[in-house]
Amino acid sequence: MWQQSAVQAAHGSGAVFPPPGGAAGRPGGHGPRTVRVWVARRDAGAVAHAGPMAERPAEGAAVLNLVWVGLVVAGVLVAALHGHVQTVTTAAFDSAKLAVETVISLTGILIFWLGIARVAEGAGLMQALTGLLRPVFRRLFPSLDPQGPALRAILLNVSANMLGLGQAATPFGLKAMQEMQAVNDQPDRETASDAMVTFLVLNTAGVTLIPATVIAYRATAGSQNPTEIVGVTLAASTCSTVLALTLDRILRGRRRRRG
Amino acid sequence: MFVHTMDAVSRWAIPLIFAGILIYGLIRKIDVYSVFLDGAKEGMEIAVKVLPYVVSIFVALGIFRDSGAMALLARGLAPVLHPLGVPADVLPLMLIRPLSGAGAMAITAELLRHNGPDSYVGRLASTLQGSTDTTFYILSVYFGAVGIRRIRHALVVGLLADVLGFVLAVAFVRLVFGVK
Repeated sequence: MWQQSAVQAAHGSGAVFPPPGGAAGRPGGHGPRTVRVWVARRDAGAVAHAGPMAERPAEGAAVLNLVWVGLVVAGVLVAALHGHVQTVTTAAFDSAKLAVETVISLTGILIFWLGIARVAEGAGLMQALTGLLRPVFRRLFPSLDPQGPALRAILLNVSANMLGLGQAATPFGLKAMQEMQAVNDQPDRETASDAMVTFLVLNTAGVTLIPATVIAYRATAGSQNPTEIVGVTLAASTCSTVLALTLDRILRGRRRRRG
Repeated sequence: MFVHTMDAVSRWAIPLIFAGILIYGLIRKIDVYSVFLDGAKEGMEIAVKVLPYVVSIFVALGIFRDSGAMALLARGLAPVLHPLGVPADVLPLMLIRPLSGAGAMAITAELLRHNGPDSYVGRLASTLQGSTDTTFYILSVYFGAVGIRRIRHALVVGLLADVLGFVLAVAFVRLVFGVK
């Protein structure tokens, strides 16, 4: 299990609704004793409730645990072997201090960017983008009704993600999954439909136009030109997304569950 | 030409977005400043939530690097990584990126601080961070929400998208900014 709201907030997406009836196998845990905070947001206000949960780390968490603990332990071992084990302590204190400074510097720009993003949302920029994307998405999701609620939710989710409005994107994404599940044509209700897989591939390959948080961190780190990476990021992101969608189309026919 | 275009995009993107969105807000007759403040208020919440991640990663990486372990790893992997133009510093980032969004962001932040944001490592880390997403997390949230257990080729393609993103990021950053 994982700290949902924190992870969500940190990588730009916002609210998550508790899944109906719980779900199996949630990777990305951050330790056996963590407080799970569910934050659900609609347009008006925020509702949050927290409960303590003690859980075994789930699948994906194993690697994360290994890497993080490995970094610390490897560092201690190497420092000890080289006879300067005190560098561990110095590094720990200096790094912790630097971490706090970094976050504080970041908060300023973050606050500004969140304001801009909210204006975009409020002014209906998402709707405008949705209109532009609709023809493309009808081709991407041939199994979905072009006027139906599933495609509409998908369009809203992608538009929000593109504008860096993670807060708005996730609820739409969850709605899209629900609508797609309603028209899931697979033999059983627990297998992903073609549209679902395409949607997930689209989401994980990344559709953000402006990597706002990265730019903010660059600025606070003293970059001469914080936005210089926008072009290359967009290029790499777009190309990988297109390739991924192509791969999805190829694998779709081969991996369809039959009977 | 490609380089020039990407550079222009980078320079114009933010100013146009700031001005454009605010003007669009005025045109659509919303209370721009008030709405802006509503969004802005969430900034502190996010900062507080992000802090544990950032501290944990900064400390782990700081220990790993200052002890000399990072240099050892770099030397060991140099024959493989050097021809590819991948510095050892970004390896933790590539490993963590599909697993934890906050962790990856923290690693990127640390690399930006330590190596400088305008260094090759800094630019590469920034691009790696922005061109991929947290695959496991996204899959688990979206599929879990509707009770899907058989995800077919979603994970395979998702991870391949991450790898592709990394490869392209290295290629483009080298192309546009040069190495070191």
